[in-house]
Amino acid sequence: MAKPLKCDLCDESATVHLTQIVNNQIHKIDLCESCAEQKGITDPNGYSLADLLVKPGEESDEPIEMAAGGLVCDECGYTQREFKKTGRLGCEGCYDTFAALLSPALAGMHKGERHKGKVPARAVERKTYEDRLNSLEGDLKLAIKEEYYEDAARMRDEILELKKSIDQEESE
Amino acid sequence: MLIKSIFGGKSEMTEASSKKCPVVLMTRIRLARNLSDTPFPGWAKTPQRKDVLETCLPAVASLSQMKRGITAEVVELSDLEKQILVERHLISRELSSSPEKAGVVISKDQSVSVMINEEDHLRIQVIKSGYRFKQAWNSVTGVDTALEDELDYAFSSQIGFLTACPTNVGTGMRASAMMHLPALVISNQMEKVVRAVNQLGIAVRGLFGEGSDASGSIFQISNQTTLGESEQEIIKRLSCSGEDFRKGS
Repeated sequence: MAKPLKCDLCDESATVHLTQIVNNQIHKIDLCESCAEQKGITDPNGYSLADLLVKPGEESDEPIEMAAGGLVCDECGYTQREFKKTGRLGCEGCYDTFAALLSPALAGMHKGERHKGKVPARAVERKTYEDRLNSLEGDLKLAIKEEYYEDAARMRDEILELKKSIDQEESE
Repeated sequence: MLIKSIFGGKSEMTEASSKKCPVVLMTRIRLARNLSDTPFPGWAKTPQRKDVLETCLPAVASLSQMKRGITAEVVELSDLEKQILVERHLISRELSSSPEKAGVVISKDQSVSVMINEEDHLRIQVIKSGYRFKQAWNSVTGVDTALEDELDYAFSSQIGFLTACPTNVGTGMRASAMMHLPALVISNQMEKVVRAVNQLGIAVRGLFGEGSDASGSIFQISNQTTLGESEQEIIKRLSCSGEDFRKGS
């Protein structure tokens, strides 16, 4: 038999299941009856997950916390509470930190969920470099751990090359 | 007076008027852009705002489009100057009341203005008189591309240009046409029209944008959404509604 779902807030078994489908993406929140009542989720018809997550200036700030447990951005220290209050974000890293909250909200407020417009060449190039660098650094650690020293030396050289290219890009 | 030079010179709004379409007073496109690795202005500390201003102000001022234009920090402007710039749609009310480390660069013909440390690090705006979305887009994307050579933008391949407010994420573009629609107002048709275009993802606002009233039957229509469509698709959708307004009026 399938395991009963637990409440997202406490360990009680969840009996209230809130589901919203936006652009074919399903977003769910599971709550026990008392938590649901406490959060005022009594009328699912008039209740939107997107509203719950980003509508600024609402009196209660509890629903947003229940969805992802009061997140704080690692990069800038922006809090979920602040986000709820202003409807704005603190830095580019917040888009990753609050991704779980933003995703259904963005789908609700925009025409789609993927960027289809202009792409800045330089930002993309930098991102490609950084992704490659991160992946190489991971591989290097693994190669050293597993004692593949020849591979490790090759990776080290490639990392040095990449870092040089990034520095050059930045100084241009 | 810091902005004196723009009074005497010819300006886009007064010199380049088009008789073809008297209903549309001006077309405007603005792009919201942020620098990578720096908190957005609303959350940044004063030294970070200062860094952004010191990086962006010279980068913008050195663009060929800004030749012989005006570069100013908001604190250098008098209340009167700020009011003039707001009235001419060259700076926003938000920027004019910005406490510190905010600035603006305005081109000589007043068609291009770039605000620094408003809601986003950069708000690049182009105004064209009359109904000229295509020209406005070509101009604003030119400024944006030139700036991108100098500055590192915050960008995600998944959701586009990252902005302080999630309602601008994606293209970061707000395109609008300012229209004079007295006949629709007098015949009490405006509410019906507004409801209809809202269904198409288009917002209708008053003369000075969000929260302003429609003084003198002047309205702005603009796109509500910025993610999931290309800039061209958004402009096309807006142009179609603009046409309907023109016919309706």
